[in-house]
Amino acid sequence: MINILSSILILAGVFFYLAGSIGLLRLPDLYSRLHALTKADNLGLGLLIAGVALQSQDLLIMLKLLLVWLSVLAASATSAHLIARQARRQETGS
Amino acid sequence: MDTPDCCMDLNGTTRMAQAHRTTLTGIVTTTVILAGIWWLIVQGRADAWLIGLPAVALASWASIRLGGNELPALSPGGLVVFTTLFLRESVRGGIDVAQRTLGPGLRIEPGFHRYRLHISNPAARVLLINCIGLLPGTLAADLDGDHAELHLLDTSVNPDQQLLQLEQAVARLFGLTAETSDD
Repeated sequence: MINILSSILILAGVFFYLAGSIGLLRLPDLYSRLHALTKADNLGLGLLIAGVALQSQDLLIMLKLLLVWLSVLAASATSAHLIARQARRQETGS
Repeated sequence: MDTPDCCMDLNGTTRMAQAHRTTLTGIVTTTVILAGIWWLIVQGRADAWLIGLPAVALASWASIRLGGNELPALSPGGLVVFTTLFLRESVRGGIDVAQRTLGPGLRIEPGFHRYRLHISNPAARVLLINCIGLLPGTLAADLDGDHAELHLLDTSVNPDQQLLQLEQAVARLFGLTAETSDD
């Protein structure tokens, strides 16, 4: 049961990673691409980590995985914001 | 950059939350949290402290040096509300962007949008700016005084309602009273 649930979560995670990467290729401009990357990867990694955490069945490892997710979230949200800010400032010349 | 004081609803509470900046308690709290994170990363291995102790010391120093040493007390009730909203919006944001990019013909109408921030606490603002990028269709591009310059994937959808909801959750998390009445 746990294996099935875990597989579903991991596959769903991979799906969102794929969606994010396709978005990166298909979307027309820098800002829209950042949308695809940050949001789809956030959800993708979250699902992937939930799936792996189910497999581990060890509270410490679960907490560590949660920490990994939060660290990646903080890093990707911050870098997306900084990239968008730099692009915007160059565009508006401020 | 002269921002009229009348619009900074949360200034009073913000100052109180920042009161214990660079105090001994602040330094100890930062160090304990960072040591806890290290302990979790190495899963309690004792010999790893050889690297961990200097790493924690350097990280604490950097954190205090960069002025990020204000740790306003987080409200437990606010944490529950915020986490629930965060998870729900993460799922919505991911599904929304997947639908838009995987469907035939990109269903996007990108553009910019200004949003006035109600919270002024710097730590709360950082969290808000970062979380805006995880909401469906919004991305914080720049901060101009009290206004956030947002990029929208679809300008036909007004994001103000969901932004306000997020901002109130962040305010509650930091124990700030969100008086967002004048909007």
